[in-house]
Amino acid sequence: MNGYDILNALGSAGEAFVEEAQELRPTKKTVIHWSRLVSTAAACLAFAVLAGASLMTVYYFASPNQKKSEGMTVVSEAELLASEESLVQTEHVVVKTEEYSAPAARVLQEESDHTMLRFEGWVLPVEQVVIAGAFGQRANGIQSDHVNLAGPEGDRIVAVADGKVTETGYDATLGYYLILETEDGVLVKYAHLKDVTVEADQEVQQGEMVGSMGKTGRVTGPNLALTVYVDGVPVNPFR
Amino acid sequence: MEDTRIIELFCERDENAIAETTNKYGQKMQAMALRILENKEDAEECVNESLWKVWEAIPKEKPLFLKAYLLKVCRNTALNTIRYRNADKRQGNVQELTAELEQCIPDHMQEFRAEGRELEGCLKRFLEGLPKEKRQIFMNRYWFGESVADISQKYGISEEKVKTTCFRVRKKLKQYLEKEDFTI
Repeated sequence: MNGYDILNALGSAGEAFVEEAQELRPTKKTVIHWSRLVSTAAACLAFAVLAGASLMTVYYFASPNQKKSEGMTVVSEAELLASEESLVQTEHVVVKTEEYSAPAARVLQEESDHTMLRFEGWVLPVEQVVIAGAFGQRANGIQSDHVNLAGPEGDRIVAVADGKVTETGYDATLGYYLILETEDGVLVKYAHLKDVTVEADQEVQQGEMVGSMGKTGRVTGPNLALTVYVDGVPVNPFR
Repeated sequence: MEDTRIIELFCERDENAIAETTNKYGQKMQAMALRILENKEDAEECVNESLWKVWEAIPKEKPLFLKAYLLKVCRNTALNTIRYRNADKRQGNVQELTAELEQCIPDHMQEFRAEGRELEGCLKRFLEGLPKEKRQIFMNRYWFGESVADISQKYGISEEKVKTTCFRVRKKLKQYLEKEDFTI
């Protein structure tokens, strides 16, 4: 056996980790709690103009060893929070911090009753619903087409109704996701999953596990982003 | 076009599958091949050969994640190209990577030929057990063949940290291979 054998065998062995390896930075340091940055009206405007994607890659928490490259401004977390407006328009900002962990989910509502669902006969996709991000207009000015349900990483996520999985995959924003088409033709998208336990074209029963709670894609902590489409239009899954 | 639709095109033997794959993932495959082969023409040839292999393999093999599958085929094709074309004098980058990985092999295993599947399974279990951050660095170095400088820039950490992480993971892999009871 030689080094080449290992390099070769690594091809198949590592296939499952290809997407993870292409994430820009390790998850716990990738995302700044950007909602803090856009908490003022001016910041919201700048955010819209500069587009979320570029901002997300520009602002990040760095390790204490981060080397400063050209055009990069290094500030402390305190400085960043104190001068939100000007920093939003700065091109390269790195926030140095020893440790960064995602802030606890902002709990808007906590329920576990199926009747809170808009669709009769559906079951909740998670055992305990903790709405961390609501459908529609959010406090930061962004119009959301989905709800974010926070929960512990690895928690079981189930099919809300009988149906067929039409798509599974990975997306830089959505992370691991799947789309379930219910028998009534309603499309339900589950995103940011830790893993997907069903395959495309698979029939699933209501309550059957389809994946587990994760923080893949562009997120600040473990949550399920649930988007429900009726005739192609996103609707609030809750009453 | 969604990956599932591209896979369907492959299954339907529709040649648009090749065009759509090239359109969506051609550049990534090209970059992967270029890192290993270090020659633009060879890399282009490698991508074409990989697409042909994928065309032949689907629908017999139905990949769950198309991008990872394509990159794996491309990586294997590039490594095989080097193996057959230049067995003794490997390309600089591959030589560097194989020399580093050489350090993971326990002494008593060096003279044996590893069974591909067993070694693959062993490496997969090892990767699964690594903390995410270390796995990302290790994958970027030895799966994607990226340089220490590129990884350092990508993750905003020092080159020294990348080297140290790789060194520690290699050492851990050596211990793991020593402990694992796989057929040699």
